[in-house]
Amino acid sequence: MPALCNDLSSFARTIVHGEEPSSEIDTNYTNYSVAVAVGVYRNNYRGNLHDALAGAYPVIEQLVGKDFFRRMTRQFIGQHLSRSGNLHHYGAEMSGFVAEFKPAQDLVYLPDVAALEWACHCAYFADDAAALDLVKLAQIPPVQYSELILCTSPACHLVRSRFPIAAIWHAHQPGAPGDFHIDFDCGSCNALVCRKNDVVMVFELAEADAAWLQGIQAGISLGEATAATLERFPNFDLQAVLLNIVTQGVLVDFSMANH
Amino acid sequence: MNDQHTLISAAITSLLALGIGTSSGSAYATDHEKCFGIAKAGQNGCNSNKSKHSCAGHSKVDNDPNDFIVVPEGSCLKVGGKLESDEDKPATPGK
Amino acid sequence: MTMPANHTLPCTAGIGLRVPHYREVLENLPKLGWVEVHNENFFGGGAPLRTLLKVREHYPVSLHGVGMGLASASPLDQKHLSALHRLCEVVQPAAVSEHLCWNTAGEIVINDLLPFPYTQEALSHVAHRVEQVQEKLGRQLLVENLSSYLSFSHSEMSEGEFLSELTRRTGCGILFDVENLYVNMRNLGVNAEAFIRAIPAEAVKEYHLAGYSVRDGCLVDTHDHPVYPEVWELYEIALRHIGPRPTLIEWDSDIPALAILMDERAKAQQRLENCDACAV
Repeated sequence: MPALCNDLSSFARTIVHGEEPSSEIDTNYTNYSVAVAVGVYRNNYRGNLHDALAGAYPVIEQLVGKDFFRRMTRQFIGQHLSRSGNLHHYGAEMSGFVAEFKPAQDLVYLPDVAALEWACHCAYFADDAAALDLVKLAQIPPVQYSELILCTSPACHLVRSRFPIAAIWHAHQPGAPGDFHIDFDCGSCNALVCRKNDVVMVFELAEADAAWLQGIQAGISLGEATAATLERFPNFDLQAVLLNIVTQGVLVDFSMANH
Repeated sequence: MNDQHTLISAAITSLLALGIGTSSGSAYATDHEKCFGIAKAGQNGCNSNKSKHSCAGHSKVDNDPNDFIVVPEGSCLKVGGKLESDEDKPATPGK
Repeated sequence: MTMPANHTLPCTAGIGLRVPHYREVLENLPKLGWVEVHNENFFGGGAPLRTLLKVREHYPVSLHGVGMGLASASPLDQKHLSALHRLCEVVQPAAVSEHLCWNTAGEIVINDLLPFPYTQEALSHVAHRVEQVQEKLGRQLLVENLSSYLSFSHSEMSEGEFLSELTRRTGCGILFDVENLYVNMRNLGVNAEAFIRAIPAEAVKEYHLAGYSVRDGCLVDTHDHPVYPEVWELYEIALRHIGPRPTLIEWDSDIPALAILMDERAKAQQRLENCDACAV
């Protein structure tokens, strides 16, 4: 379909890159000029992507204000093409974009808040996963527990930051009181995103718990992750973190390490 | 190593004893309020100009230098934490 | 899960169900024939899917896609198709539809419904892709006519002729969007009656109705107004020539109170019933 390919590619460049419409596009319309028609498509293109970004990054939009956000997303849209027919996939690169984005550089926490929001967005639309099967787990002989590879839910994400991003996120949720106070001296934040009963939630994990979960997410065995964590954090409480994350639906399955 | 094994065994055993196994999805939220309250509007639609005021009157180029005469003026003004703003940093001549 | 026995769309009026009305519809279960939703908003699990399955317990559901890009100049997105297949498996929709449009050319994806030249080449291309979709889903796909703001000088046939030939080649059905046809009539000078004559009546399985906006003289398919009198008139003409079919009111921007949407629905329902009365 060479001719169709040429026609669509040319039309795409007209919409996305501002090229003149090709000679194959009719120029005479009774009620408007071809420039108006092209303008409608360009506006749709940018408008749909902007709305997708506003849907994924409501906290960023509140933080910088609607006008600034619109101008920021316009630059983002100019740099990042959509790659999917599903608009919910658009905007993954926002955190990196914001980090490089000069006009927002005073807001040092913004890239990490963007990363947290993308994690929440992905969690909201993630596939369902079955609950951790405790009957199956009970069949594993205790001597093999160290070799368990624990799998986390597709809706679970850990976002680590040196800024209080979970507090910032919570302060901007619907229904949150407007007169919040963010304590920037409280150090780093390990934000755990998970989905329980279909509601996306953000929790804070202690440094040791986050280090351990990061190991688990990387696919290393329960024994190795626990040993590595205990080395750095002698007071690490495995039982507490395990109960906590299973209650939150973070763990969904397991397998055995192959030796 | 033995200590660690005991620790892991105890943790898993307590998990099994409590019998908690939560679903990450299949249980319908009993609290409808909570569930619908946070419903995100789906972004995929078949209408034109969803964001109808989005680009009206804006230039056709994506990198308009005039865009950034504006400064952030949302709730970031309340968040604070301008830890690395220019005022806080020593002057860096030549940069 | 309990599913209503009815797996086909009833020949009544339904509404496009959007987030602002989920709660009210589920709590009050208003009397309406069926609902339609946009597929891509339910790819994945969680709250969107759970809510849709709740709705499905009470109403037949039509799945209406906006992102497949049937005419795109790129391989059919198999991930997208698989996601739709999975959704169909769990929702058991009464109808599945897509638009006669494209959204991808090589590396560029444009998340919009874009027109293309109606050529023999495009016809073969789209027919092949419709067949792939129908094969994967194991069911008939309804293909919707598009609202357009520009046209191509080398089209070899009208959109109506294109759709007619597409149904003949693939066995797909037609989702006749009356407002889209009206928009094209005003924007592009399309002959609406010729369109209605061109498409085979028995292939038409569903109607859409919506309101448009006018920008600089161009009618834009914004779905943010009530159905205009001229579009009701065209709907009545379609009902006379093609016959009554399940009819949807779409409202996607500046979404009004459910009661207003239900009033619009009642207007379509009234016309469907009048049409039935005439046919007897």
